[in-house]
Amino acid sequence: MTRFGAVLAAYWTILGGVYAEESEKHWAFQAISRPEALKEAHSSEGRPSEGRPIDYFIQQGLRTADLSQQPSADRHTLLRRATLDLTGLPPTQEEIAAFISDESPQAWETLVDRLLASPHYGERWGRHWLDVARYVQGTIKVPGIAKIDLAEPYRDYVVRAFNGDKPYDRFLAEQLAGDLLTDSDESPEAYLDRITAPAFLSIGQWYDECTDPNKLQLDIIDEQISTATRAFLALDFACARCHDHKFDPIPTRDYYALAGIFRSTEITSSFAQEWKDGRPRATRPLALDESLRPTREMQSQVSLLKLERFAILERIRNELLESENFEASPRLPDEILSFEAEDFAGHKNLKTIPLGEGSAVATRKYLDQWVKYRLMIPASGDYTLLIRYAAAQPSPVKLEIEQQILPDRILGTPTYAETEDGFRWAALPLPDLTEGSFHIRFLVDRDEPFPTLDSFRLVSGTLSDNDLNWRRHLGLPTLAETVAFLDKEQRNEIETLNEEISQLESSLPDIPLTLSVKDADQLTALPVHVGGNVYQTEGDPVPRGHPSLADHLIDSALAVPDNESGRAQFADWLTHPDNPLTARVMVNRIWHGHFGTGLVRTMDDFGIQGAEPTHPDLLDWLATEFIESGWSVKQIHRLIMTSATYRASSKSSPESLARDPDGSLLSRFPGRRLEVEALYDGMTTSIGKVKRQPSGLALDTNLSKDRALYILTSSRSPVGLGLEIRKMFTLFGFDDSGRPMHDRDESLSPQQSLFWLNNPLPRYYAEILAGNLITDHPEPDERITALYETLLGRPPEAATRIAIGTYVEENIANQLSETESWTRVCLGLFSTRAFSHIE
Amino acid sequence: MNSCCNHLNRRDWLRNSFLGLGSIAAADLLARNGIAQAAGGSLVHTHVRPRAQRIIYIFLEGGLSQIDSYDHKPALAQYAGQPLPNSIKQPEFTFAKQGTVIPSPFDWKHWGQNGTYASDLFPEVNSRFIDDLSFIHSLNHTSNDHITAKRVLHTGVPIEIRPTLGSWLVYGLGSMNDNLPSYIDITPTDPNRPTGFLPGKFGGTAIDKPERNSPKLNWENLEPQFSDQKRHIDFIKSIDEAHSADAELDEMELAFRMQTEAPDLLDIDNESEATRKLYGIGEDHTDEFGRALLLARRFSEAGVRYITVNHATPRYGNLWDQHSELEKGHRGNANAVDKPIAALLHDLKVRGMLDDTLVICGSEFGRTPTFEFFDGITGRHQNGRDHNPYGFTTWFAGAGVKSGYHHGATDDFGYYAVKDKVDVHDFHATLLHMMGIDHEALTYFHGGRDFRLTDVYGNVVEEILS
Repeated sequence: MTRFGAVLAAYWTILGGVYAEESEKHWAFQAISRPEALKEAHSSEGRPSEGRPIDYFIQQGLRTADLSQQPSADRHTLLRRATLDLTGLPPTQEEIAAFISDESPQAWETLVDRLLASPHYGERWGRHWLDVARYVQGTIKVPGIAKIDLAEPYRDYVVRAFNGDKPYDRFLAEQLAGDLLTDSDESPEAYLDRITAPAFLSIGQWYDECTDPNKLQLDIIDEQISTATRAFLALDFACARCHDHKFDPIPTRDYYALAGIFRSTEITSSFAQEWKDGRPRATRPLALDESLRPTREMQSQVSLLKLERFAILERIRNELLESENFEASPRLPDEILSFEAEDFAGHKNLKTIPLGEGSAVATRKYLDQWVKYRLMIPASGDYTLLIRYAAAQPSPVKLEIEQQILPDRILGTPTYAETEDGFRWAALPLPDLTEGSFHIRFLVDRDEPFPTLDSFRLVSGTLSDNDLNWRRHLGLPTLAETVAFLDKEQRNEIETLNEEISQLESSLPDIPLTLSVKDADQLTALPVHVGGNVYQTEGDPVPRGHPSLADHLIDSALAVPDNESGRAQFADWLTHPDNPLTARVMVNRIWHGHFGTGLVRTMDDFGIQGAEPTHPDLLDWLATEFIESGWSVKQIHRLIMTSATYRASSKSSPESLARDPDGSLLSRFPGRRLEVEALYDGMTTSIGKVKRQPSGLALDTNLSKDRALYILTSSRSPVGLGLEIRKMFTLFGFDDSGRPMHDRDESLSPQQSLFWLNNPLPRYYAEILAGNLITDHPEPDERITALYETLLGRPPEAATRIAIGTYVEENIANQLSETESWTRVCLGLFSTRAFSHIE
Repeated sequence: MNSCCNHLNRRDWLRNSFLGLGSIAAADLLARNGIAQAAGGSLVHTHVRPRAQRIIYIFLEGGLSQIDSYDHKPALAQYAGQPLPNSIKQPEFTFAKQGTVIPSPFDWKHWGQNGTYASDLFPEVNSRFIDDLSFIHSLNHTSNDHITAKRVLHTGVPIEIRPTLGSWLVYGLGSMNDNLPSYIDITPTDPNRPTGFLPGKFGGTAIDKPERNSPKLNWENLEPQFSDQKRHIDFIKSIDEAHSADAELDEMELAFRMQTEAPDLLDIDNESEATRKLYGIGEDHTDEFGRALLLARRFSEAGVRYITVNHATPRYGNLWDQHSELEKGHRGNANAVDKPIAALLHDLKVRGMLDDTLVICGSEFGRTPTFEFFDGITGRHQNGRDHNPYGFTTWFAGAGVKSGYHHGATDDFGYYAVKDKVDVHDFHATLLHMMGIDHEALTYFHGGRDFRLTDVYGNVVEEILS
């Protein structure tokens, strides 16, 4: 132990006592109770309207600081605030006109209801959850982390869940154990939802190139535990992998009780010992069982036909062996060189596998695959390279001779199987070779299949693939090799079969897939691993089960049956109404989404080291309302948004700044920068690229494809600007490394300003926007109004009109075109705080 | 509310009295409560006298072979063609089957006044500056692949995404130049290096070629879209006044100042012909790295705190990663960097900047004493070396490091560090120390605990300091 380690241990020992005592009293582990205080409010003011209780609690805090809350913001600001907040899109000019002219006393409530029913609501609030669930779009840009295919169904599931106000307890349970929540009379939609949801466990990032598979397995479990406990409990159990949690009541045993659950859960389809062979995530059809039946029937038909084909070939081979003489000669006539495939001079992502008595060179998962050989040519002339290979699917390879890639692909034909009987010889003519030594390389494009190679023979002269003479000297034919010796009738027979097979295969319907999570065949309990070390365990396996931190509140038995992993029971424990954390954590997230900070500021840490709630009674009141409403997220939105606190102006007064410097008392609405998705959507919607979909209808994702939520996976970015969008994401606080984001990085940097000033992406949108404005609004004053309403949701102030007019005049005086002049005005607006912030 | 504040204070008192976190408690408390860090960095003052004002880290990506550059091992010649003796333990993992020992293909001799024994890979640096260098021969870690090894060297941990040394420095020390970023990555392989739990503003700014074929280096979005930017920014200010309480406009101003100052700084045509020649600019082999290092010097002068200069070119083989053709690859790479590095040291020296600039040069790991079966089961070439993170050499110059000093040693084959071992935490502790920071006291509160660059480890290698 280092000097520091020793000091630290002493420190922990001493603090350990302090913390053990503290943890018993720590607020987050106490039962949630409906605050007494509210009864007071009820009795003095009669039955409060929906928003009132929130204001009551906020007012209490303000009173202690002798502060009053800012009055309500103006209607334009409120409309933009609510619309961006709930849908991530700015209000349209029509929506502005409608809301401003709605004089009914219920105008605000009507607006909130309309926005909550908008199909875009799920895209916005689903993304908030996707942050917590560490969903990343498209290829991860972190070296060593493989890209995750098929995470999109999970994304769309989350969006649907929010749009449909799926009860949060059900939402949680589906993500942990949807595959286990069988229900005999469920709707097809409900079935598809619950089999998609557990991808939550599967979309984590792990270090794919980990060389120790046993360690990697524990690392993956650790990632699942950490993500799940932070998401649902706002506690990070990962600390307890190596030692009892230093501060919170999480003993190592609790960690391994959960680890057993996830060790008994399967998310990969295979788990190779060697990293280069991959550990692919398991997938399953995203379709109802009955709709899969025709496909399954066709598939079994295909298998039967393939068996038939083998039987025919086997029969023909037996006949051949009787009638013909196949003698393996050590050398073919005119043979120059014979070598084995594993004798390569260079390779990438290939491996040597045993084959018969020798070995072959086979493919490793994907990426760049190539293999290189050095040939010696004794004299200039024409040559032929004979290659023994097998390929289960068409695998056309490119051939490179001395760094020149030849135009035609070679070795394309599949040989039906990659077993020993699947190997056959192909002849590759190499005309006009010059004397001496040179390199040839076989390569495929990224992610293409590579054939398995066995051996090579180089002969002088040109041999044709159809010429049987040389084949007879290469030993007994395999089934695949038999194909070369078919007579016309036999050939017809085989080709008819081939045709039938390929027709069937090509008419197999495309079944959509999703990531699969299921209980493993082998259910295991894990013992405590000393120091988290995979090879050092202590004591008996810890039975699979839920954490112990709420044992003083939840006394009903949630034991894990022997024949289940325990995910469902873990979910039951989490959503138990007496669980002190789950409801508090989620209402805190909702609050955070509306105000930019949580009532508990440490979004993923409700433990002893985390922040205290600024308004504990309010937190508990919201949590009880949440549970009693049937875990309705939309109900919490409604309660929050109808409060005066939500509607307060973001303008600050000197008193408010002095006595509520960080805004935690909510003496004013805390303005904040919008997330990058809303910034991007602000640009795309300004040119009408994303159509607003009407409230009350289901989301049509096709119409939404250009929104930031989808853009990185949809390849629909403006031509040539896809990379700039990626860069924009990370520049504005989006962490694309695939770790959970509980609180986006809102820090400002000059690089962001440089982006607005000089990057081609905002310019692309500004130019189109300017062009549209000039066409649609010939009158400059109207044009300015339209521009302001489109981008900022309000008409400009008089001074601003003048400033814009002056800037345009100057630009035109400087010989700039009208479009360019207005493009710069639009770019200027993108650069403003008003555009990038919610006020 | 009151009880809550008392609670925090008591806890901080406990921490401070046990760990001696004096000066940063206030900043720490601010960080804990989500309040922005002071613009000048989280540290109110440095903990020890800073020896270095800035660091230039020359990173030879791929793995410079220590036993072919600065760690001379006569046993390699004696055992040539034989397997390693059993006394040298086998690593748990190798990328390819281990071959037999191969000798260094380079010529070794005594250099400088101190007579340091080194190969002729870096003749310019060795003949002119070897007496100025301080070597650590016993740097070691356990990450065997490039990705994790690079992360270990830069962030202290192999897999998780954590802030780099540069981010920690900027977080702790703030900026020395209001018009420039404080942390610059010149020609990084991975331009998008996340800052882990530190806010993005502490990240490095990448300087790279905007176009593949242009020799010029630049950073993203710096090239103005149009000429009259001043007027444009005034316009933005005029329309944003109602909302302009704070930060955005400052950032816009800073962006504008960067845009004004940086092109001059990046334009190495401002340098004399003699200086350009010194760095090898205009010569085929050295042009690229010469430009990179000259820029590093210019950034240093302008007040940038932490500069990495990455040398990673496929021109002489796969970077410095010579699994085969060690001699050809290392020679080519070394020729490309030797003259520019010597020029940087010379340039810093004559400008009096070497006294408070720390220059570091090294790789993510070294290489094995044996050849590897890279090219098939016969290992036809038998002339390359595998990765070796267990003992490798990095050198230091400037900022008061002990001249001509050698710290630590590897075994007879240069495989494992055996004497005065220095792990990456020690390495980082030493660098922070040289910048005036106690590595145990630079912390960031995240996810329920204080994080450090050095985790719970790290000892300053006092021996290399004069």
